[in-house]
Amino acid sequence: MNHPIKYSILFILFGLLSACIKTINIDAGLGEIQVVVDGLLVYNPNDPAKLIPDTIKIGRSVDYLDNTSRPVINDAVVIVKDSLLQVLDTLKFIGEGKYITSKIKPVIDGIYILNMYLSTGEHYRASSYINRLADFRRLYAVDTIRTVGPVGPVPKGGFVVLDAWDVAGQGDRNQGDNYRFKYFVKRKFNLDNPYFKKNLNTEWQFYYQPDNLILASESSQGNRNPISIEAPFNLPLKLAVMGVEPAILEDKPIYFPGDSIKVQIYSVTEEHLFFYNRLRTELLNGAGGGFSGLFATPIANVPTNVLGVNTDKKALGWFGAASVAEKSVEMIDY
Amino acid sequence: MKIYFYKMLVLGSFFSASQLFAQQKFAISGYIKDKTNGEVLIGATVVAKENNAATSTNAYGFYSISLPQGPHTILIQYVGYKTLTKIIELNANQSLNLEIEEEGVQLNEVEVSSERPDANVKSMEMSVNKLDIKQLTKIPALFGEVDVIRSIQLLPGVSTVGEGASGFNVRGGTIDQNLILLDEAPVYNSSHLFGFFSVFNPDAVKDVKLFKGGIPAQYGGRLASILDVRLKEGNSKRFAVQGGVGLIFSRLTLEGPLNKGKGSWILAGRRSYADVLAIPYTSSQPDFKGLRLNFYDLTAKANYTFGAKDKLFVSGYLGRDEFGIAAFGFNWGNTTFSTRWNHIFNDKLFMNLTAFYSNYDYNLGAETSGGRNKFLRKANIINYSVKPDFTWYLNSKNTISFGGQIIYHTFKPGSLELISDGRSTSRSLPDKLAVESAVYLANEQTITPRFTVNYGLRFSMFNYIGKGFKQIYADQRLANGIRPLISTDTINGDFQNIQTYLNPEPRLSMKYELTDKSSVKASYMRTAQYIHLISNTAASIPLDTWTPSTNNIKPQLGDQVAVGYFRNFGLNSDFETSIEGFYKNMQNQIDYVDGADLQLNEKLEGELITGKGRAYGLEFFVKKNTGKLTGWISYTLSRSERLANGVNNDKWYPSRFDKTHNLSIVASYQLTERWSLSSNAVFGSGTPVNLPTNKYYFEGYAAPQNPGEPRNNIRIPNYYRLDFTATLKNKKRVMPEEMPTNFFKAAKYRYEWELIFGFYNILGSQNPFAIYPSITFQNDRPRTELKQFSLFGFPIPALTYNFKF
Repeated sequence: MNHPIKYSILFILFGLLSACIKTINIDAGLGEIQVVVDGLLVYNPNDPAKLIPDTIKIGRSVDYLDNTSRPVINDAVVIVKDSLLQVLDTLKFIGEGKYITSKIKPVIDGIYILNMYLSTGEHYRASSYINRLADFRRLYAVDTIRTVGPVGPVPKGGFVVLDAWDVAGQGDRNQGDNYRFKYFVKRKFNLDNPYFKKNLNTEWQFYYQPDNLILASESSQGNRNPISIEAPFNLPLKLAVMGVEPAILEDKPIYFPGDSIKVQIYSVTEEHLFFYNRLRTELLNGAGGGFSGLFATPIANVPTNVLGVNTDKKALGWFGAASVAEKSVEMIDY
Repeated sequence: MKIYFYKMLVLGSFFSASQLFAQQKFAISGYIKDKTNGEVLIGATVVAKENNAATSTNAYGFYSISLPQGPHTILIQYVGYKTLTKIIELNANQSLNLEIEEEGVQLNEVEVSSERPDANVKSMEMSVNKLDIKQLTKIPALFGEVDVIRSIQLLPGVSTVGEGASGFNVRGGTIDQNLILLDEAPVYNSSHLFGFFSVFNPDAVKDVKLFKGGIPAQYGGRLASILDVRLKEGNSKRFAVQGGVGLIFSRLTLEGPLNKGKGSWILAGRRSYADVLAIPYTSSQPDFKGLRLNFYDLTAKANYTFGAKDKLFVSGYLGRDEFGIAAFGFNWGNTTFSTRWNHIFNDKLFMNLTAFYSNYDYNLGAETSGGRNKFLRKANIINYSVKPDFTWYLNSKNTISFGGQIIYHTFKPGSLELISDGRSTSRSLPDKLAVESAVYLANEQTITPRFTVNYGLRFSMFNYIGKGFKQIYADQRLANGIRPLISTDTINGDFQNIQTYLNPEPRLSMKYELTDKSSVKASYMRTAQYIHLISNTAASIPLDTWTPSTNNIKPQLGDQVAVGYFRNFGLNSDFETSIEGFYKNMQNQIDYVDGADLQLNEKLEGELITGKGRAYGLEFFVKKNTGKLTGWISYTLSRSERLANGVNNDKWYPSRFDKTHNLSIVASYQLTERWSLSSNAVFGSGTPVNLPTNKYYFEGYAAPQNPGEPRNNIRIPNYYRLDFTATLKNKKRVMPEEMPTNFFKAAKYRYEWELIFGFYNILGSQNPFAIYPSITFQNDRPRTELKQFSLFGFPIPALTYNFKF
C-alpha cells in the first residue's frame, strides 16, 4: 500500500476513534454535604474465631472535583444490635473515621442493626442480614494454550477458572441468592501490568476499578424459577472474575508462575446487591469516555440503607452483612 | 369536534354541488414527469392561468384539476425545471401526461423566464420542509458524503444531541417520535456507523419531506414528525449508471427501462471499507483477529405501468452494520419491502394501495473455545401492513382524502443463549404482539380564492393481543421507585385481545393568502403513538428495543398548535422566508426509575414512569433559490421540558435534547460553469446533562452524587462548526446530433463526473460530543474529573468522486 493511502486511512481512523478528550471545569455548584457509612459485617468459615475484625467507616461527602480532602467523622458512637435490639458490640475507634468490631461474631441468618450517634446529635440507623454461603468448589489454574502467538512467543502463564455454583432453592428470604465477587493477586514479580503495578508479594492486592464490582444474582444466571436449580456460574461471570476479556483468553497469560490468586464470593442480600449494582452502574456510566458518554444513562444517586432516626437529613453509603466463601491458588511453573 | 367536522364536509360538498349546476366543469388529470429520465415529479404545480386555480402532484406524480369548459392555459411549474405552458380546449374529462425539462445552470443572468410557483406561500402545508436530492448534493457533508438525516438537521426545528448520534429530534421530541418512511415502509433504525451516516443511499433517493406539524390525516403513529423518503423509480428512457468513490464507502447505482419504457428499475448499493483497508494494520494484531467494521446496504425498486390506469411499484431495502472481532461482535440492520399499486378509478379518483414488511433486528454475541463458551443476544421488531389511500378530486374547491391502515406488529424484546463449558442455558422474553389500525377522512377545501382549510379526522385503534402475557403491577411503588409485579396472566388465544386503545386524532390546517407573495397559516394536530423505543440514554444505541403499548404502557398523545407567516421577496420570489411558532403538549411520556434495567428485563414495565412533556418555540427560515448564491438560514429558539412523578422532585426539567438556540447557515456559490463552493455554519446551545456535584468514598470507590436529585442540572458548552467544500465538474461535452445507440459509445458523451473536496469543521472547533464524569486511580486512590469528549476536534477532510453516464 502506498503512503498517501496509508496516511489517509490512519487519519480517518484517528478521527473516528481517537478524537479529542480534555478535562474541563464546569461550575456545578456544591450540594448538601451528607454523612457516609461504609461498613460490612462478615461471616467467614475460614476465620471461625473472628480474628479479623470488621470495620465501619464514617465520613462525609465532598465536592465532586475536590480530589484532596476526605472528610471523616472521628467522634461518633457506633453500636451494633441484634434483631431483639440487644447490644452486641460497641465499636472501637481506631482513627481516620474507622470503627472496628471486637465482640461480635456474625452468623448466617443473623440480623444486625447499626446505630450511629454523632456529636452533632444526629442519630442514624441501618440494618442488614447474613445469607447462606455460596457453593465455591474449586479455583484452579489453567496454562495459556498457545506457546507462540501471532506476534511472537507467548510467555509462560495462564489464567484461573472458578468452579462455583449457585445453590439450589431460593435463598435470601426466598428472594433468590445474590453474590458479589472479589479477586486479589499476590504478584511474584513487579510486572508492568496495568492491573497490579506494585510489587506486593507479601500482600493481597485488590484491583480497585469499577469493573471489579462483579455481581451475580439468580436472575442474571437465568435461573429465576420458583425453585431454582443448582447451576454453575456462567461464562461472562467467570471471565469477569478472572479480569479478562474473551478475545484474549487463549493468547495472553493473565497471571505468571509464582503469582497467587484469591477469589472471594460474598453472599449478600438482594437490597445490598442492588446497591452494588447501582454503584457499579454509576461508576461505569460513561466511564469509557467518548461515545460511552453519549450513551450514558442519567446519573442517579446510589441508594442507601442508612436512615436518619432523629433527623430529616439523608445519609449515604451502605451498612451490609455477608457470608464469604474464598479459595486461592498459585500459578505453578511448568 | 366531530360534529363540526362533518358539518364542514357536508357544507363543502353542498357548495361544490351547487356550483356544478352553475357551469359545467371537466377534469384534467395525469402524471408530470422529468423529460430526461421519466421520473415522476412530486409536488409539481399545475396552474390554470385564466381561472387562477392550481393543484399539485401527489407523491406518485399524479394530479387532477377541475376546470370550466373552454380554452385554458395550463402551466406546469417545478423548482429547478423550465415552466411548461400548454394550451388546451376542454370539452370533456381529459387525461394529460406531461414531461418537463430541467433548467440548466444560469450563471450570468437572473432567472426571469420561469415563473416561481411560490409553493411555500400558496400551499396548505406548514411546518414542512422538503429537500430534493439536488439540494442535498450542494450541502457540505461529513467526508463529502451526502446524507439525508444529517442534512435535515440543518433545518429549523430539527436538532441532534450530538455529532454521530443516531436519529434526530424534532420540536423537542424524542427520536422514536419520528416516523421514518422509506417508500411508505417504516425504518426503525435510520443509522449506519452509529449515526454518522443514514441508511438512505442518496443516489437512490428522489425526494425527502419532513412534516414537523400539521401532519396530514393520512399519517399517524408518531408524535413529533414524519420523514417521508421517496426512492427514485429508475430511468425509464435508457440504461444509466451512477456512483461515487469516497473515503469511507463507495456507491454504485444502475437503472434502466422495462419493456420499452412501460416500467423502470433501479438498483443501488453501498459498502464501507474501513475494515478492508485496515487489514494490513490489524492482521498482525491478535486483538483485532477477525475484525468486522463495515456496513452495507442495497436499495432496489421497480415499477410497471399496466394500461393507462394501473401502475405497480415494488421496492426493497436491505442494510446491515457489523462491528466486532473474532470472539465478540454485534450487528444490526433493517429490511423493508413494499409493494404499491396505483389505480386511477376515473379522472377524479386516485388510489394507492401499499403493502409492506419491515424488520429491524440486532445480534450481540461472544464466542470462545470453539463454541464451548458462547453467548448470543437477539432482538427484533417485525411489521406487516396494508394501507389503502384514496384521493378524490371532487371539484376545484374540494380534494378529499380517505383511507386507512392496519399494521401487525411483532416485538421480540430479547433472547439470550448461553453456553458455558458446553452447558447450554437460554432465556428469552416473550414476544409481544399488537395490531395498530386507523381510518381517516380529510378534505382540503378552498373557501375563497385566498382562504383554504384542510380538516380531517384520523381514528386510530391499537390492540395489544395474544398469544402473550398480561402483567399486573401494584399501584404503589417501592422505595426504589419500582412497581412490584403482582401477577402474570398467560393469554393463549391467537389474536385474543388484552388491551385496546382508541384515539380520535383531529387535524386542522388553515391558510390565508394576504397577497400573492405572503400568507398566514395555522394548524392543530393530535397524534397518538402506540409503540415506544425503550432507551434512557441521550442517544439511541442499536441495542435499544421497541415495545408496544400494553395494559401498563399507555399510548403517547400529542397536541400541537402552530402558526406561521410566509413571505417571499424579489421579482421571482428569490427569497422565501417564514416565521413559525409552535406549542406542543405531550402526554404519557415514558421515563424510567433511577437505575432502571432496560435489557432483558421481564419486569420492565414496573420500572417505567409516565410523565408529561411540553415544547414550544419560534422558527425562522430564509431561503434563496435563485442566482449564483443559493442556500438558507435557519434559526430556532425553543424549549423542551418534561415532568414525571419521582423525577427532579416532581418539577419540570429540561429534556436532554433541549436546545435554546439552533442556527444553521447553508450557502452554495456557483463560481464558474465548472466550479462551485459550498459552506455550512452551525451554532447550537449546549444541551442539558446530568452531572454530579458531590461524591463520597465507599470501599475505595468514589461514588458520584447529586443531592436533591435534580435531572439535567448542567448545560454542556455551545456547539460551533464551519464546513467548506469545493466541487469541480467535468467540462461540458459537445453532444452529437444523434447519440450512438451503443451504450458504451454513448457513455463517452454522457459521462459526467464531479470531484468534491474540502473540510468538515474547518476551524477545528472542539465541540463537546459528550461530557462525563471520569474516575481514574492514582496509587489506589480514585481521582474524579469532568471530561469533555470532542469527536471531530480538528478539520476532517472530505473527498469524493462522483460519476454518472
